Amino acid sequence: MTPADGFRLIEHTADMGIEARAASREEVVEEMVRGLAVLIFGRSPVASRVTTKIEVRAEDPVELLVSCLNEVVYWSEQGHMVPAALRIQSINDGELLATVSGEPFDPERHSMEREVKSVTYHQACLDEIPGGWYARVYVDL
Amino acid sequence: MTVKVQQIDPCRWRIPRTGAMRTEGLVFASAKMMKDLQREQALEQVCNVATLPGIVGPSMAMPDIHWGYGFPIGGVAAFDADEGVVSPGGVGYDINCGVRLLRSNLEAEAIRPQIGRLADALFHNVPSGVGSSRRDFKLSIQEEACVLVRGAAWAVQQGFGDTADLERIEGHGTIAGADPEMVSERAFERGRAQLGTLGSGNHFLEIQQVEVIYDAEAAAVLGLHPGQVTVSIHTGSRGFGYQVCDDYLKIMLRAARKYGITLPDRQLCCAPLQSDEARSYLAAMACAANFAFANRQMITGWVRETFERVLSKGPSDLRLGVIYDVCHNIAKWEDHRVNGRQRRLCVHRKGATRAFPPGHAEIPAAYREIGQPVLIPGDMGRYSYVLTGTAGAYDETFGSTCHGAGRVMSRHAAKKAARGHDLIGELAASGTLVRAAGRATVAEEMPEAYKDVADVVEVVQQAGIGHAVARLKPMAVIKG
Repeated sequence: MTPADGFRLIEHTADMGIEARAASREEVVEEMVRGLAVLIFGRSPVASRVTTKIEVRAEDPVELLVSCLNEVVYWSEQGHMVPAALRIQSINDGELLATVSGEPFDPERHSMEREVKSVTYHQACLDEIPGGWYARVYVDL
Repeated sequence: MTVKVQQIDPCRWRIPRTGAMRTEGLVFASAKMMKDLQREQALEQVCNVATLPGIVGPSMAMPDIHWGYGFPIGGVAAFDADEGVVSPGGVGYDINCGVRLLRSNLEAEAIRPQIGRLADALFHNVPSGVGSSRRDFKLSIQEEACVLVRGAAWAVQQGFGDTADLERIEGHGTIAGADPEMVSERAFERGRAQLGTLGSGNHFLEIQQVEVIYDAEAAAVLGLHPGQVTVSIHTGSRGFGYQVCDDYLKIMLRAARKYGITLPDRQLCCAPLQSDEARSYLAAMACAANFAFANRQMITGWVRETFERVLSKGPSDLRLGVIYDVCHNIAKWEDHRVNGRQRRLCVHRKGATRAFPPGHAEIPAAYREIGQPVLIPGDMGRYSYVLTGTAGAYDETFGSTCHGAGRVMSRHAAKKAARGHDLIGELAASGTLVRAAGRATVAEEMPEAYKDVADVVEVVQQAGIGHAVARLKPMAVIKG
C-alpha cells in the first residue's frame, strides 16, 4: 500500500486478494475498484474518458461488493477498458448505483498484468469497523 | 489455524472428524508437503468440504493440493445422488480446464533448428493473452449454442480435426445434458469472443520431447518413444465458464439458504442434487465443459496447420494425433462401488484428474489394457508427466489423481524472486524457448513458483493412485 492508497493487494498461494480501509462504505468500495484496476493493469496512468453506469442488487453487503467488482471485470473485459475510478451514487445493504470510468486499453500506454477469472466469495467481507469501513476479496487468476 | 492430521503411511494423512465434519479428510502428501500445507488454509478447506450434505467417503486432496476458494485445489469429493449436493465452487470458475496431449512423427533433434520459427508461428496463430481472438473466426449465437451442446464434435464438424480425435477425449469431448437455455446472455457474450483462445495465467501451449519412458509397454500403446516430439495444450472454458460459475454461485447462495444448508465458506454454496437449482447448474456446467472441449479441439487444428506450414510437411508425415484430453475442473455423474455397494455419485474434481483403471468401459478401446491416460503438466522449466489410471485410484479416490505441480510461491513472491533475472534468457539457455504475451506472466509463472511435479508424481505412484509412463521436457512454451 502506498501512502496515497486506501487499498492493498494481499498474498495468496495461487491467486491474489484486495483489501481496503476507508472512512465510508462508498469510499471503501471505490478503493476496492482501484485495487482491482492495479491488480489487472498495474499502475499505468489511466484517464477517465469513458463512463458507464453500474447497477447491482444483492441479498447482502458481501454479495453486493463481489457483484460490483465482477461488473467492473466484465466491463473491462468486454469493452477492452482500463478502469480509472468508480464513483458511487448510492449504496445500501442490497443495492448499489455507481459510475465506472476509464479508457480503452492502449498497449502503448497500458500494461496488462493479469487476467481475472472472477472475484470470489472466499473470505469476502464488507464491514463497518471502528472509525470507518473494511473490505476484502480474493480474486481467481 | 493448525489442522490436526494423523499420518497413516508415508503418503497418506487422515484429518479426523471434528465439529460439523460429516466425514474425515484424506490427504495424499509427503511429510515435507504436509509441513508446507500447515502454513496455508488448504487443510481447513478439506475440513470445510467434509461438512457438506451427502458426502460419500472422505473429503480428499491430491498431493498437488493448495489453497483454493471453497474447495482446495487438488480436492476430490463425491456426493450421493439422493442426499448429496452439487457445488459450483467444487468445480471452479474455469470449468473443464484441462490438458490435451498430441503425439507426432517428429524427432526433437530434427526440428530443433526450426523450433524458434515454430514457436513464433504458434504464438501468432493461437490467440493467447488477455482479450485475444482470431480476427478470421467469428461465431453467431446459434453456432455458439451448437458448441455448447456438441463440444469437440462441433469443432471437428467445422474442420478442426477429424472424428478419430473424438475417440481419445474424456467423454468423447461432449458432456451429456448440456442445455444452453440454462446459460445467461452474459456467458454467451463472453464466450463468443473467446472461443479458440488459450488465455493467460497458467494456461499454455507447449512443444515437448519425450525425455524418459518409465513403462515401455504402456508408452508403446500410447505411441510414445524417447526423443519424440509431443504438443500439450492446457486451457479451459475461458470467460464463458467463469460467467457460468459466477451466475450459479449467486443462485446457489440462495439455494443453500432455501434448503437450510450451513456453509463454513460462502464459496462452498451448493444445492441438493435433486433440486431444480442443481439440475440447472449441471446443464450449464456441461455447456461450459463442452465449450472447453471445443476450444482445445480448435487450438489442435491451428497447431496442426502451423506445424504443416512451418515444416512444409503434410498431415500424414506429421501425424499429430490426439493421445488423450482430460478435464481437471469438473463434476461428473459416475458409478462407484462403496463398501461393497454400487452407488450413483456426483464426483467433484477441482484441480484433480479422472484416472480410471485398465478395463474400464469409459476408456478408449485402444487404451483399455493400460488404463486411462492422465496428463500432468509441470512448470515451464522442468517437465510434465504422462500417467495411467489404476485400480488403486478407482478403489480409493473415486478414480482420481493429481492434476499438476501446484503453486508454492505467491505471485508477488515469484515476481520478487524473478527480479534481476532474465527468465526468458535463462530458460532458453536450458533448452526451453518462451513466447509470452506479457512479461509479468513469465515472472509469476517461473518454475520456482511451483512444486517440483516429480515430487507430486512420486507421492501418486507411492500411493498407487497413478502409474508413471513417460516424462516430457518442454522445448518451446507459448504463454498468454
